[in-house]
Amino acid sequence: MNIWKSVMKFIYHFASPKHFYRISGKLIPWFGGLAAILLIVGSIDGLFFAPVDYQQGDSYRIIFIHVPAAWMSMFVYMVMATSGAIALIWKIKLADVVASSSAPIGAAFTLLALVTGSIWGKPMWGAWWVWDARLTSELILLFLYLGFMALESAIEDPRAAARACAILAIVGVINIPIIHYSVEWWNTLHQGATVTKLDTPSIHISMLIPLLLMALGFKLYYATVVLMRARNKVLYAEQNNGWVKAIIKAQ
Amino acid sequence: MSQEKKHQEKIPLGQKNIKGLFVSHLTCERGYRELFKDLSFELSPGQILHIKGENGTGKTSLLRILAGLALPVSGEVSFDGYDCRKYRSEYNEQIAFMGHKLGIKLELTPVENIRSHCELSIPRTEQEILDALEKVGLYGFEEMYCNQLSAGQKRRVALAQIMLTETRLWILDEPFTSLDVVGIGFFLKMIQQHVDNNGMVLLTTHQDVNLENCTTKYLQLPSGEITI
Amino acid sequence: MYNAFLSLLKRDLRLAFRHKSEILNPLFFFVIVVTLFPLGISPEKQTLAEIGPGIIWVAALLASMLSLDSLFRSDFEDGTLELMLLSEYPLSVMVLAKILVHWLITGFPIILFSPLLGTVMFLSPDAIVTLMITLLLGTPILSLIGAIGMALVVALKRGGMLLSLLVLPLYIPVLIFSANAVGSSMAGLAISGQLYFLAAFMVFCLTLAPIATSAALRVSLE
Repeated sequence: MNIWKSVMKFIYHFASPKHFYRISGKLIPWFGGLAAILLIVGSIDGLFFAPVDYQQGDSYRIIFIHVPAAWMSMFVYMVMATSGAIALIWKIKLADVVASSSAPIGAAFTLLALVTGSIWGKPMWGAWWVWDARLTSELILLFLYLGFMALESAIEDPRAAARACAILAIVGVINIPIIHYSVEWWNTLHQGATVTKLDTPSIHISMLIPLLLMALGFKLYYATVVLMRARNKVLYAEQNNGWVKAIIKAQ
Repeated sequence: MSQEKKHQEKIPLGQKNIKGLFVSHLTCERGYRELFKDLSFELSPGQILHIKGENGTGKTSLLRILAGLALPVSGEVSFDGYDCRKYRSEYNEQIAFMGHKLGIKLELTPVENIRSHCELSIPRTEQEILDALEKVGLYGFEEMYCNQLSAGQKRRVALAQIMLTETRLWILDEPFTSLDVVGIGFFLKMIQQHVDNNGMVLLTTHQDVNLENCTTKYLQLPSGEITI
Repeated sequence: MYNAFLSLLKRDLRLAFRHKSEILNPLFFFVIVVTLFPLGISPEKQTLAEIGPGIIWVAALLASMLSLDSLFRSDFEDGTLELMLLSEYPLSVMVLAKILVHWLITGFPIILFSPLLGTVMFLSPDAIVTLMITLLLGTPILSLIGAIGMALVVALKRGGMLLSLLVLPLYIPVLIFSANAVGSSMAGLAISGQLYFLAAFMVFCLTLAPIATSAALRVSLE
């Protein structure tokens, strides 16, 4: 019980806007730099050194963008729902800020996954859009992101907006597996097994390495951008507090 | 039974005989604008707290926080020594709230309105409801739809609602709006009776409230200064 | 608690019967939307029988969504919602009563009318029975999920468009399984899997949606 209390105390302390602002300021350059290195190395490796796919030729190389983006689109929504739940239960304001800063980034990843998926689909299926289970799920996920952002911008009071969005994100995250499962089921029923899925069943190690590099790069890029956005939001939300005024004065 | 036990365990030591409403270090913001800060006061049985302040100083926000409808940025509200947020249902049993919106359904008659409201706490018999309506001067209007009543008459229906809830703390936001002199007089008499029975009243109004044999406190917003 | 549930149920049903349009409008909407498709696509029997299940279900979904306003809007405007929040009884129980009323005045009439529309869309008798079963299992889900969305937007002046953006993606599983069940029963295939899914999803929503809705209402009324 006592340990739990001191853990909570530590978290509250760390999550206080002032400390967050200070620490995130130190983390951002590191995250950003690492993200840049990983993304550059990963793209060079993926585009030039990874072997050519025997079925799809060079066009498969888009997976080095598409797959990490699709992974991130799910991951960011999970982050939003988790931090929303944390904000609702423990009333940690910072968690709200993280959730609302994540939404546009997650939506951008989702859009990227959709666009790259459709570009990839063109040579494979001969059409820009196919009602493939993964693409359809991604599209619905984009709707969920758009709903989150629309709700946030519709509610005037920022704290009420954050709490409403937290509830929406939690409801969404509970529904995502159900939606995903039903879309998958619908898809197999209507198209049978003839359509090639976007994923290859097994991936060669020389393709896997750039893919993982890119995925890690995407994660760090997200971490960088979300911290930057959250810092701005924290400053804005705490504009009445002394430490913010001191920072403004110092500049 | 288990509820009782839960209560007893949670009572902080040394505060066991506390009665009434305690507010400590309440801070409220609207948007990013601070309305009031570090507001602390208490209200004991048999007292009235009259909240004063210009428009936009947060009178309504304060009442909504005290009723548990809104969240403060920081600070605590406790009733009889219990945290109102943790014991929401028990606290709700003790309070009656009258806001800008009266909570009257226009498509229902006064009797139906009061009956369905009372069924959310203590169900009342038809006769009790009719008596209450007669007391607030709505005799003969019981079977009319509320959209045919005037604004003042609707407020009288809400008055009858409050009368029939056996609560200790009344939270009234501009209760005298659109009431005529007779209505205000009657309402004041009701408040007097409530306070005489050791009830508590929190209200905002531009009207002077002078009652006998009871302490009336004045809370000035946004400064939070208390005068008696 | 039981009293509060029944009391709200009675009050809201009484209100709905004093505003008959609240019951009739979603029903008319449902019928009209279905009627538009033969006019827009083709009156051919084969085409209509193929797209019929989906169309009837999309129309039911829209009718249910567009009538969500009646759940909390008027209660919010006249302040009865505030008083509900301040009751000593659990808000989720009262919310459940209101959702039940919403289903009784929108979902239930749609179920009663669906055989007529099924016939118009040339569905087989078996498929019509399936349609009614899927509506019976599915429309409560629409009301339950819709209530969460409505609770989130109730305080907003123009919540209508936003509501559809919030709620429609969550309706997708219901649409997929229901329309598919009807289509499958037209083709003489087994439908028990789809019906089990719908039943499970309904129970799931029945347990969680009232809690989410009451949390959303508390936020909206701040």
